[in-house]
Formats: sequence, C-alpha cells, structure tokens
Amino acid sequence: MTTAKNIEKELWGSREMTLLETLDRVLDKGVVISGDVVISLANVDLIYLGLKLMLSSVETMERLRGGALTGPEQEPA
Amino acid sequence: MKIYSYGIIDCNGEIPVSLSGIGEEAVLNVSYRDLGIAVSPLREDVLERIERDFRDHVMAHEKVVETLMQRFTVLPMKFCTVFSSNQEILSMMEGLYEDYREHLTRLRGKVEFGVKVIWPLEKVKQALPQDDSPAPASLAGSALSSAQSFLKERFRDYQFHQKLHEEADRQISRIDAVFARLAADRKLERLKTPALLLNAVYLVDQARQREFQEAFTGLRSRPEGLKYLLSGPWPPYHFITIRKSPWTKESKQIL
Repeated sequence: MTTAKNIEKELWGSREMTLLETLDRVLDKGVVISGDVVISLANVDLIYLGLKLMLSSVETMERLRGGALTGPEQEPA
Repeated sequence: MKIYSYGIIDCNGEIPVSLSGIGEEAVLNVSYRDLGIAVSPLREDVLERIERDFRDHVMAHEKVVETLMQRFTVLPMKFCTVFSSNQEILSMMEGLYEDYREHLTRLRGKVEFGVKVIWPLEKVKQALPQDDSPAPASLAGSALSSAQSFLKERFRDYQFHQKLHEEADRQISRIDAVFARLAADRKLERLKTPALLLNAVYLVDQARQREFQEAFTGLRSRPEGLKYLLSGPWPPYHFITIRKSPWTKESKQIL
C-alpha cells in the first residue's frame, strides 16, 4: 500500500489533502453521540471550514495533476 | 480524568496490539456483551490542548481507528467524543447496542474509498450547444423592454445550466458504472463546486479492494481531460448513520 509519506514526495499538497480527507471523516462522520459527551470545538470547526474552502478551490485541486490521493496512514501490521 | 473514545469494535476482549492514542495514552477495550469500545484516558491538560493542536490529535485519532480496522470491524466515533466515567460508557453501549450490532454486521469486511473527479469546466461550457432558438413571441421584436430582456437572459441562463447538469449527469453515470459494479453501496454528490464534477464515496468489500483500485487506474488513463483523485481505504465513515442520543427514552433519531 502507498503510504502518505511516499505520496508527499510525489505531489504538492498531498499532506493538506490527506488532512482534509481525514477531517471530512473524523470531524463530521462516524458514530455521533448527542449530548454533553462531545466537546464543543468551535475553533476547530472554523479552522476546518477555512481549510475546506481553501482546498475546494479548483486551483488547489488542479495542482494534484490527477495523481492518486493517499490512503489513510497505516501502521505496519 | 475523562475517557476518550475511538470506535466500537466487534471484540469484547483485549486489543492484541500495543496502541497509543491521544496524549500518548494506551488504548484499551471496554467490553459490553459481545462488543467493545476502544478508549484511552484523557488528562485535563491534554483536553485543554486538543483545539490548539487539533491536526495532530485528529491524526492520532485516525491512526488508532486505522490500526483497529486491520483487525476488527470498526465503527469510528466522531472526533472528541469524551465520556466522564465507565458507567456513562456502559449506559451508552446499552442504549445503542442494537444499532451497533446492525452496523457492524452490515459493514463487516468492508472499507470506504473516496473518488473525486474534476472536469475542465470552461471547455465543457464551450462545447455545450448554444441556444439559438427564437425567443418566444411575447419576447420577440426589436423593442424589448428592459424587463423582457432581463427575463430572456435569465431564461437562457437557466437553459444553459440545465444542459450543464445534464452533461454532468451523463459523465457521472459513465464514471459511476465503472465503480458501482464493484461496490456494496455508494454516495454520489454532483457538482459540489462547479469544477468538482463528482465527489463520491464507495463501500467496497476488502476482497474487491484491489479490483477497485485497478478500475480507478484504468479510468484515469483514459484521455478524456478529466482529473481523478482516489483516497482510501478508509474505515466506512460515510456509511454509518448512527446519530442518536442513547439516553432519551425513545432513542429518537436526531436530524
């Protein structure tokens, strides 16, 4: 499997893209338990929004030049 | 001291690998019936730093989930789901046990892939057939009022965007056909931004993972002017729909 580190050498911006893809999932999807158990992350949500806006711009995406994105970082089994 | 949670797993025993999570704390499994929830202790000082160093913490969270995924079926928790006590965890597990069981069965042995496709928007626009049909009789004539001109222009815009969306649908169908036959489920989003033709996630059986990746490589090599991005395999984040309170009596779905 191609690791994030290898991809970083090949593609500009892949570190950011990996982070964005991860944030898209970890901050917004999965099991969501309502109530007080989830810490309010107002600042994180703002940072995430800014990053998302930046990275959804065509110019940024174009720089990837059609290369495959990283898979999630895996530890050796 | 609080308890940070990473995901529900189909195992009620010890996690057979040494794993450190947020704040470098050891990840443990809290069992409930035949399931478990992977957690680690969360110190107050680490909790205070979570927002400041959130990228590192998000990656630490994801790393734990990824490692668990290699051994178990995992339902990842949303980032920063933190409990005050073991009792609170067990009460949550009790409230949502049936949902967890159902999701774990459905998602067993499956992973998620993300596919993004960018199209050359300007070229696509230029290639669309121009609307040269005559204006409706009511709008015809050389002495159009400004209101009529405005309406005519808006109507042309509307028609143009209809055509653009039809072209997007046509291309998405073609792309989706390549992946859908290899996937157990999928979610497609058309034109999230004008240039992002398709933003899709596919749920793929691990046995078909390589085939899926090869299909992607095959599609990407076609000379059609599209740019393709693949990410994964991920835990099946987009295919988990548990958004409930385990503590309300009726366990109502929260929209």
